[in-house]
Amino acid sequence: MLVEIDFWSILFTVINLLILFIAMKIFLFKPVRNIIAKRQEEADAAAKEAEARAAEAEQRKADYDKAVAKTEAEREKILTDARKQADEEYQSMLAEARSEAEIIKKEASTEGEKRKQRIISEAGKEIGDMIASATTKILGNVDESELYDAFLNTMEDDK
Amino acid sequence: MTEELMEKLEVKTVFTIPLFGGIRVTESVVVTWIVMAALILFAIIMTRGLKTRGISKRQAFLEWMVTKLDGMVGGMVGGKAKVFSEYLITVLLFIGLANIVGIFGLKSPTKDMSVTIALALMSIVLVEASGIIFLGFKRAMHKFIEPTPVVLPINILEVVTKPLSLCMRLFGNVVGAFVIMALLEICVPIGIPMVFSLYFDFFDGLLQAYVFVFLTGLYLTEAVE
Repeated sequence: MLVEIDFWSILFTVINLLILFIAMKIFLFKPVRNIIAKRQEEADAAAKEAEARAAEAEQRKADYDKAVAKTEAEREKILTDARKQADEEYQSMLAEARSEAEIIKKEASTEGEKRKQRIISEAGKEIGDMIASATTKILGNVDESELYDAFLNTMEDDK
Repeated sequence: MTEELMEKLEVKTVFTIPLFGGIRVTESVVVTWIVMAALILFAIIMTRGLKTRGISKRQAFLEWMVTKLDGMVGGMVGGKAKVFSEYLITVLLFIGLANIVGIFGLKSPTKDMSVTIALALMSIVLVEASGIIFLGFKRAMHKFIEPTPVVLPINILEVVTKPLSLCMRLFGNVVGAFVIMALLEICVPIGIPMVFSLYFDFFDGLLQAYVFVFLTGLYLTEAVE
């Protein structure tokens, strides 16, 4: 008979299909999906790691740049400080030199004045002596004490 | 000639299990076992020593095949029905291989209506059960009167006609192809049958497997939405 429906065949086929489905799930789909998922995981991990490494490198570069900039700034600061200090020192030295020069100048001028005074006073004295000697010569041998007395008298008369 | 053909189409009993008054184990069941064994053996051999890197050609082919099948069945079933894709791929592989097993001198199990009835029964049970599981009993029953209660008799009828058409389409196509091929071989024994065999044995066999799975997927998608 061409068309024959057999209950047992139907039941067998149903059971067979269920077994086949489970078997395919275990032997075909599970391993393949597992391996694909695992590979995906690995790829994800690798990508993540690469990303992390790139970020780290970026960070390092930034740090390095920062350090370089810092060093540069420090250098600049040191230079500026040194210049400033040198300038200050120069200025103070200059001021000191100036004041010293001033003092020397002043001293020199006072010395000169003193000398002048001394010379003048010496000259006055000498002139006085000369006048005295000349007067003596003119007046002849006048007792000196007499002269003093006369002088004192005159002074007193003037008063 | 007719007798010869009829004999080829007849489903013979290979042996009987002496239980419950004799359980007939037919040729189609035995060939089904062979098909199953071939598929399972293929799966076991192909999935041996899978690696994530530096894969062999065998693994590349296996992964390509599974991905393609996934994509093919995934295109048929949408949304929540995706969970059935593995069952559908199994059915696709089984019917596909069962249909072309005739060229190895075996009788296609799908030439036995009991087998196609079983396949169709499983499909309709899966469709109705998934409707109830995914939507709940009330919602699934309500689907019978959507969009209007007028369609209720048609929808009830569909519960029968869907598996009936699945079963008959597969059975009819396989038997039809077989009969045509048998007649062709009798009329023109050399050359021509080979060309037609490519269509009737290979193409039609695989196409029917595809159609069966496609329709089941369609019903499933419809049922769970």
